[in-house]
Amino acid sequence: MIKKYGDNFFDVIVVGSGHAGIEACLATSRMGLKTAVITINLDNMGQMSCNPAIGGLAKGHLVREIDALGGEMGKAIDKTGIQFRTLNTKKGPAVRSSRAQADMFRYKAYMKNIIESVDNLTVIQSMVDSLIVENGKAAGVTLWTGDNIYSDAVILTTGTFLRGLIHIGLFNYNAGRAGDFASNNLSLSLIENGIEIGRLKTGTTPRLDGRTIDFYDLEEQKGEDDFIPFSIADKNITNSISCHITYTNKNTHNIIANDLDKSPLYCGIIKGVGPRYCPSIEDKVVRFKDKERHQIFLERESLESVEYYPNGLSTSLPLQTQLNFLRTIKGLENVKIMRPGYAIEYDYVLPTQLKHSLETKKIEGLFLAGQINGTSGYEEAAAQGIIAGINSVMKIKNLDPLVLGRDEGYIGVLIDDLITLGTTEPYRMFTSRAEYRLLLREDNADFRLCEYGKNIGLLDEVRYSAYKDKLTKFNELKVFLETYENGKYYALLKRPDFSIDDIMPEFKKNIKKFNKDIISRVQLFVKYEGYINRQKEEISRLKKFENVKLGDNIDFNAIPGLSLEVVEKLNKIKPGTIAEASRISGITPAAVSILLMRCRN
Amino acid sequence: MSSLTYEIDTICAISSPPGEGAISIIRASGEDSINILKKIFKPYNDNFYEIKSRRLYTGRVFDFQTESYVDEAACIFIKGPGSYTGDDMFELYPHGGIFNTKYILEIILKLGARLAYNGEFTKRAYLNNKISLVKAEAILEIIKANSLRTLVIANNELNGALEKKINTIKEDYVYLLASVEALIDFPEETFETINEDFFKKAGEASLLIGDLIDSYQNYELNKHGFSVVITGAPNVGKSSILNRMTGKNRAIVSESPGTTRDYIEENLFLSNKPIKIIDTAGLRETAETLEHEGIKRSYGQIKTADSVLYVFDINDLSENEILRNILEEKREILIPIINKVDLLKDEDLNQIKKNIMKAFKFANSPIFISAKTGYGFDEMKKAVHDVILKMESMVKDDIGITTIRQKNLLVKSLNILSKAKDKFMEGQPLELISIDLKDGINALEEIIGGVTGEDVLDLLFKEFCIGK
Ligand SMILES: Nc1nc2c(ncn2[C@@H]2O[C@H](COP(=O)(O)OP(=O)(O)OP(=O)(O)O)[C@@H](O)[C@H]2O)c(=O)[nH]1
Ligand SMILES: [Mg+2]
Repeated sequence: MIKKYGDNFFDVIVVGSGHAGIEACLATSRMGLKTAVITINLDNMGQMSCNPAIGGLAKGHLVREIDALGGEMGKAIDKTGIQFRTLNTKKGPAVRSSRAQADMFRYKAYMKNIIESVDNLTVIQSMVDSLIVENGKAAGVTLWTGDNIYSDAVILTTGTFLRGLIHIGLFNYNAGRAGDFASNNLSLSLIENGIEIGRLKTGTTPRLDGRTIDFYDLEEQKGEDDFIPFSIADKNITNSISCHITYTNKNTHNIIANDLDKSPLYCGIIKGVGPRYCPSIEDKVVRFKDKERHQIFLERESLESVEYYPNGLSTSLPLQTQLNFLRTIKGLENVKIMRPGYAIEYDYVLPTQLKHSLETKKIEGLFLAGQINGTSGYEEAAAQGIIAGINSVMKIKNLDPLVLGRDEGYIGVLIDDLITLGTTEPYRMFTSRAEYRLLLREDNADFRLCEYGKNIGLLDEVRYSAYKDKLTKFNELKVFLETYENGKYYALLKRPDFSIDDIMPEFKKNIKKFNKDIISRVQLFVKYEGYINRQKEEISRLKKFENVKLGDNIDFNAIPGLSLEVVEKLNKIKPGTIAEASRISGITPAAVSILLMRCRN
Repeated sequence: MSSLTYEIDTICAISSPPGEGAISIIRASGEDSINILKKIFKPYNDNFYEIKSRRLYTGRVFDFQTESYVDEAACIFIKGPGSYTGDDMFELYPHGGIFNTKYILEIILKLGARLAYNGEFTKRAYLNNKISLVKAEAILEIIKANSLRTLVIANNELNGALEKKINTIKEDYVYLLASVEALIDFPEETFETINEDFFKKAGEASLLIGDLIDSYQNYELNKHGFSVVITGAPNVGKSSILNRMTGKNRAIVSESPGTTRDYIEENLFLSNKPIKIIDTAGLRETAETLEHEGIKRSYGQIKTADSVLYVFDINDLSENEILRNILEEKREILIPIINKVDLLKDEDLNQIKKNIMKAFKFANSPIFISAKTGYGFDEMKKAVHDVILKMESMVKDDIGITTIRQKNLLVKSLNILSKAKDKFMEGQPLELISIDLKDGINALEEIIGGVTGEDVLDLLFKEFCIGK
């Protein structure tokens, strides 16, 4: 019999304190539930195991969405970032994205500090060996010391730790990441409970000693001082470093090509599937033979360290080869490696086994978030973490889960993709994955999601009122433009060759009180209004199909007219609605018609 | 995603059987029915703004493009859910000509409806709970069978070739989309030749789409048979030839020149090939207005002819300017016919033939006939048949589209593509160009099947070196 309300009972247990685990445990404890976060190494909460940066294309969107729901990531990076930039400024406003270099040591110190300062949160350093499941429900975890901890919900955010295996050349060893233990038993416990598991691979670059890099001739990339902070309520950021750009060359490629026989990737030792969007340098050299050089960004990891991250050089070649090819690169002629680059293989759970709440379909009360669901990236992890945290609370309180639509946020797209499409490589967010890209902009993340954050009781008053204030100002300026001189300037602004700067002198007085953020939001709104309305119309038309349920027990084999391939896909993914079915790759319009007919029956 | 919006569009089709009749029926179903009807149909007496359900109106058909009335018609509006499909519907009953019916359909399409698939009205009826599943499944079989049959028809022997061709276009499109997405999602990468490649692919795709659009005309031609135009100077016996060929006394024959005024068209089979044989007004300079108009039409027919029978009277084989001009364009398909050989006695036909070939440089050798006795008609038919075979072998490939629906979708796709190309050139926001390109692909998808976001990313990673 489980003893409730004792020292070993919590409402929610969060396993792992990476970027997913942090958002999850902060959400549950801030929403008032007694939470335990269990991590293998308390020194590495919020560790940036790969590149020292937050944001980037589509990822910047995620960070702002997390912030609008009441998450921590945006605030953390605003305070601990050392270089901030907006990407795609020349490409069109809807796909602009924010990116920041983090001081990785300060970042994790900030996170540890926050975790230690919230109410309701107990922090435990230990390793979880298995899940306690009673009557198909998650009831707690067993630690490697043999102790049991009980709870009503368990959130697993294990990152790359499940049976993590690190490769450096032909040498390999068990680890969750360089310097931390792997978790070798938990996947078995999942398998025993009927959860299907796959294997993925990812990798990272060597870390270089900055004192041995010659920056003199390298192209410099500076931060932007008028960067709009990630978090709604934050006022400013500080740029304290520049990044530098260099390139690989023929010699680099030759050295790599010559040593491919020592690559675990090309010798077939690595079985896990790696991400195509983040190939190792050996992969790039092999697959794009014609390309004469590849761009490398040299990114400083911390103001308190000389370690540099050479972005673009992920590799699992032997240490000596790494050094050899590095030294062919301009600026790195005398470089020293402080930590080798490596590849890591790890277990993940096939995400089609999840519900949109991130609860597993098989085990009630078990939630999964982050790389365990097959994603990659800190932001993707944090986004799932906050949703899993919120929904574990909703579940315990018997409330409807928070499920964001594909038209409401990149978070919605991310989770819906995972659940309806699954993934066979580490899944990364891209703006092209969002069909309503014009609606899902970074600049309006707060307009889209703050009310949700407020309603569920996670978003604090400071951020909520900052959002309210922006909303009021936005409407004020919009109405002003609509009415001023009969909307003459509103119409002018719609033209591609006019920007608000061109017409500003006409009414400078009137809009002095609006800051840059609001002005650019309104400008964007006006310019894109036509397209935006079109997308909104499409959404409302499709809404009809979001409600056409397929039913849990539908036997796709029994439906005449569906091809074998389609039946196989449907059986695997078991879409809940017609709309979900239509998004599965390989499901033809004809198949959708057939399903529509069926479910009307 | 787009597949779902199909279910909400207002659909439209000609419901009467193909060909001429007393009246045609055009049917539409969907939310927009009433708005479209109000734009195309103006009743004689009633105030149409208070249109009543299930009431027959008479009036005129309005073409918003030319701002003119194009036909008279009756129509009925049936409010959903009491209609056959359960949606708002209308039926329009214009005169039963082939051209006017198609033209009215095109207007309705331009007003925002889309062409219905086979069985789609019934499918709607099912979706709106108007008919049973058993019935609907039967219709579904038809929908499937039809799309297959369409392909079979289009490709004759080369099954699936049309789909393959459209897929090639789609691949080009996906490449364009992948380029745009690469530029958006990987702003820090350098793609050296991406602009060049974009325009190259866009150009290729445009050409392919254009070819397919053109193929529709070919298909229509094939469907209606080859046209064989009988021409020549007045009174050489053209109408007599038509009459004998068809075995009917269709055209008026008289000894005065300039008898035939408007052209006369008859259908017949020539060794299993459907052909359209057209008798025209004899060609000459004339001040008479009616005859002049007839001659103008003759030239129109000659222009679109697949084969031309140029008829001489054996007693007048002189060369003339008119024939010279026709020959310039139609030499390969023109067959010289020398009529009234029954009037000639003991002349050497071979010598005449030689002289003519010298004078006019015909590509096909002259045939001597008599419309009076029927002499030489078999040889003439064989000559026409040979020209048909020659024409057929000249058509590059047999892959083509077969319906206006397909043609409209291709035209739409082509327009969108050229807009996207312009915007790319002008440096407009890429996320907007991406929307255009997706619309362009959607139009193709309506002909064959889907492209997912994953397909775009697949190509992107394959083609572009990406990754930090
Ligand atoms: N003897 C003889 N008379 C013919 C022959 N074919 C036509 N005719 C006569 O030639 C005259 C003109 O015949 P049509 O068939 O009306 O000639 P057409 O070329 O149609 O003349 P238009 O329509 O006026 O251009 C009529 O009197 C016919 O009877 C033929 O093979 N032999
Ligand atoms: Mg005549």
